[in-house]
Amino acid sequence: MSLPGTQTSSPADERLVRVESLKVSFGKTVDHNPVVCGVSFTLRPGRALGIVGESGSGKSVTARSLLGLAGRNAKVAADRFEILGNDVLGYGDSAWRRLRGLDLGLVSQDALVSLDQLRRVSQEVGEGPRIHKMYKRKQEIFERVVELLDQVGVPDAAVKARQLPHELSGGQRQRALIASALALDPTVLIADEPTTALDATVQAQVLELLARTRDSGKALIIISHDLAVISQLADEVIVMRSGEVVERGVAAEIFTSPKHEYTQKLLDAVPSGHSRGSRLAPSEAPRLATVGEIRVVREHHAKLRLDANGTPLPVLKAHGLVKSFVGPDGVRRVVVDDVSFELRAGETLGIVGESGSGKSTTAKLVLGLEVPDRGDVLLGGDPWSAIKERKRRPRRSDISIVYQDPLSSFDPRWTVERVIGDTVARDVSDGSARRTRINDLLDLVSLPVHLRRRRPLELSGGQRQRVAIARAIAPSPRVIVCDEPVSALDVSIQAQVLDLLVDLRDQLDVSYLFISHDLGVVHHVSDRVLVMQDGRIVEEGHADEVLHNPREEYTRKLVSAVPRLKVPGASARVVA
Amino acid sequence: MSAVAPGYDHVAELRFGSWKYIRAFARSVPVGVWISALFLLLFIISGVAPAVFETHGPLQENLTATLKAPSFSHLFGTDQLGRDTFSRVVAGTGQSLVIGFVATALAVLAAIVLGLIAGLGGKWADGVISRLLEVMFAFPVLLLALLVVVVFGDSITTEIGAVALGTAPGYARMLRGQLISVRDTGYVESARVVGHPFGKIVWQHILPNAIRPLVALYTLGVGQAVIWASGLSFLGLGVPPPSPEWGALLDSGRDYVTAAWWLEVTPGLAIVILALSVTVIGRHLQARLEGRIRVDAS
Repeated sequence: MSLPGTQTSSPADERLVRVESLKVSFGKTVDHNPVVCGVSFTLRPGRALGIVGESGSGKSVTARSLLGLAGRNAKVAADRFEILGNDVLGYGDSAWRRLRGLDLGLVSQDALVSLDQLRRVSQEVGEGPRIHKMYKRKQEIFERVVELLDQVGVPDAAVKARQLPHELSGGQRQRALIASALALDPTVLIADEPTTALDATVQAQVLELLARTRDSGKALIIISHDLAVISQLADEVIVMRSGEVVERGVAAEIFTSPKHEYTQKLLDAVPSGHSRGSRLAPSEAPRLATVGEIRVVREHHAKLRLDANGTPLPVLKAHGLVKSFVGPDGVRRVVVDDVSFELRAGETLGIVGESGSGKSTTAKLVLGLEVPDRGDVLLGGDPWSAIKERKRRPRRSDISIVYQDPLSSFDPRWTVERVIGDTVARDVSDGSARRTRINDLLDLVSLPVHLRRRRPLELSGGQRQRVAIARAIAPSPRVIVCDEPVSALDVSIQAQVLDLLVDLRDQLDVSYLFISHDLGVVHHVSDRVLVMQDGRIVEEGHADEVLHNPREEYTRKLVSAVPRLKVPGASARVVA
Repeated sequence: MSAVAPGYDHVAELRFGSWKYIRAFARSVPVGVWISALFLLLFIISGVAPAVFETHGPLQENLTATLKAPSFSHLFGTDQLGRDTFSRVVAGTGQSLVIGFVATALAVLAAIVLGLIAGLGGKWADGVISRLLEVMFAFPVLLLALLVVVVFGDSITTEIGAVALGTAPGYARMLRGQLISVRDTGYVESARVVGHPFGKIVWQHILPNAIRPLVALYTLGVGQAVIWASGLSFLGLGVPPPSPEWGALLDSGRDYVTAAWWLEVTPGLAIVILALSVTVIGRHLQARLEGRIRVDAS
């Protein structure tokens, strides 16, 4: 299985890392509830191994045990555990330290967290060479750092090296992190979710950098829950679930014809334009929403207003919105610049854009949480942003929101019952009627009723998001603003929640304003799409048009930057 | 259906009030906290009903038995006027407890008011209150206490006032920080989206969540206040003699330290043990509230 075009000086079958039946546990002994059980793989120079799995699959623990960083009370056992010919099973910390940096490099997920905020970039990137005493003078270390930053593509390397991490952009930080991992020229580079927190265009550049690193002869281990990212970089793939390897194989084969049902499930769960209209997750029996709930909502929405021609008015209309903020440096920045759109009944409007595009601020303006500097918002045909908060309050039941991180949007002391009951209470004051309504809502989102007494901390991510959705539909709104509602969820849970959102939209006849940076998700869910950049709307139109045949240059750049799964019949990347 | 967060099912099963729960609860409390609670109980009984423990009258002089070392009849010995030190220490408990608990309560209440204005009242109010707090911080507590005593005379109420004044700015600043961070959370924004008026949001969300750390801080503050009060009395700024308040006992015993060590050591021990007990309980409460200690079924 050798890949054509690899330039390696060492023989292609030299095995840098050999792991057989790796077992890691945090319990009393290594067999006590192992987090990683029976994982085996080998690594060759110039090749990339991809480890795919969802949270709890053990992929990160596996990666970190390769550095001896599994944790202080981690118990590691294996039939064979060799790194560069050394048997590392019995290694103590000082032995590991000789390997780390020099032979093994680690790139972590979030550069903002992984780089010390109080130290300059040159100090962080140069730490490896300094500790391993590779250079005699400080000036030499600095020059090496600048050279590295240049190699990874950080602009103005000499200037940036003297700056603090927060002065660099997200992409530059991640690249600096990769530079610090490469500083000592390690043979093996381990990248744990290296692009998760990044924008699509930046992600593409980082992936390209990692591909170059692999091609230059290093061995790469890339860990991700994002199948598309893995398919771009990896030669071989192992799929992990609950600490075990459920499937392994060559990347091309695994993604086109997976053998295990879990892998197939993961592939099916990825939303895209192709999956529109179909379910992403294996469904339970179709949910029969209680008649009462649907009837209430249908009656409510039947009162749609008509304009002069008899066509229904848009449920949400934004016209010429402009909003600016004064930053901590005193400079006034325009965050939303002349944004206008219409949302019709039963329609889903997707808003895509990278960070800083103004999509979240637009959401706040639409919700009436911020007042626009210019322009206005009309809800159900009536003025919304122009009126005082006191007048808006009684009508707030027409619009609600589902947040990205449900944990922070729930009062940590409140139970599920109280969270949902809070929104229900406004129009249902009778105790038992309220309880019935809460049960109906829990049913609608497929949550078992006994979860009512739990607190948000005691629920899983998917359950929390369902509670958030129940809370959002409780007042029977016309519009639900979904602000990255599935971004923080695992692929399979994301699939279930997306299915739920689509079901509810069809049953309850509600309109969604769906904000996301994930083009696949937006394409799966939306009828029409807006593309935002730097506060302006760059392109708008029907989802298929905008995302398959983009007209504007920015949209084309955005669409081509998104790593795509090599789906049978479709090309690997959409050509710009 | 997605899996439940592991490890949480048994929490729901352990019914509050059942024997299993009580046993599990008892096991989750460290021995040190139990001992501290016992001491605190003894102190509270001494404070509320000193007669339970007093062996002699605290003001009863006996000039034939002056400066006697600790013995069975006089557990803590006697002072220069033949008064039983043990009974005096017991009698003084009440005052120390009152000053500790009341002064801290006053300080916390003042802090809540100031913190609310500063945290939720807008930039201008925040600026004014913050500057005020900074000015108060610049004064050493002792100087403030001196000021209060000179102006209002020395009595137990002025001592309470002085300690409250000295410790309030600390709580106020902490509470202001808490209020600001709670104000910016997602659930407060959620409540606004639902349409709740601001007052309701403050009452239902902001206050309860911001005040959470204060509960543990209050208990810790009581320990600190007791020490402050004793210090003030020791310097003569507190309750006038012949009050058996512990600080005053330390003050009067000063002259006889070489001849009669028990006059200094025993009230000092009482101060230390009270402050320590309250602090240990306070830290345990803090750990519980922060979720670091859970009642487990294991």
